[in-house]
Amino acid sequence: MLTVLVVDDSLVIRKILSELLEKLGHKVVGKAKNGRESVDLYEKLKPDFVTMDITMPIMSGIKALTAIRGKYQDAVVIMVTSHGEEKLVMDAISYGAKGFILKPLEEERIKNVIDKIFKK
Amino acid sequence: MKTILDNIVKSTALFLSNDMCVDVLKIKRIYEIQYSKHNSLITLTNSSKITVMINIDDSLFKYLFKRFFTTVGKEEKDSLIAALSDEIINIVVGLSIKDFSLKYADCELGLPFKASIQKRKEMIKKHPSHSMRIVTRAGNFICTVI
Repeated sequence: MLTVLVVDDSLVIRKILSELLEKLGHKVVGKAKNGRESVDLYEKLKPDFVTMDITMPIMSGIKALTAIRGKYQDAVVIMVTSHGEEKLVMDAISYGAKGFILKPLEEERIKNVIDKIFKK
Repeated sequence: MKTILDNIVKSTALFLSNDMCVDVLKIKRIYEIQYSKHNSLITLTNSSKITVMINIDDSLFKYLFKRFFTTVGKEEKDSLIAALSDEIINIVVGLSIKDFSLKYADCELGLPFKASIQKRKEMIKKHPSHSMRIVTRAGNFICTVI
């Protein structure tokens, strides 16, 4: 079981993703609705990994990724992305994101990404 | 604008039938919109800026809500109802710009927002628009580009 911080400005995605992650046996220790909240919560909770939406108000997912990885180089951040955000995904990978989950959210797809990162 | 609307309607119909398992019966161009309390708007920017609006019938919305969420607590129900149409517009417009961007030009998608019926009516009155109705077994889904 891994601990997770779920970051998304959409309440719907926060709920669905949290339920799917818990179904996969992980523990959602925190939820944030923008990048700034995620940076604060990361420092407090130190989760095993973060699922990070790319496009969010106040602070984008890429800025939050940079802020978290700037302080914690081992931080595992997985970007959550929609079609049409391919360029942003490439930017995120270059800033240290470990992988990405493409919407619509599917259990199998999420499991594969997490397993690959944590080498199950 | 019509091309963009066609793309959005196509991705919406696929989303409804494939992901939500609701039969799409008919897709029809309309000239008058039925404004619903379940609505959302989003801006799409490439060489120009357009606004996409969706209006979902209450019956279809209830069906979609049940498909999205298996368990809903009393305290979160209202917030989820308000947030679901924003998520749906994000999905269908996001899917449509994937094809559109490949064929035409890169598009930038804004964040979903809501507007009162009055405000939505004003937008339609002030700007050129095109609308299509997707008729399903559970109710109508109207897509508009402004």
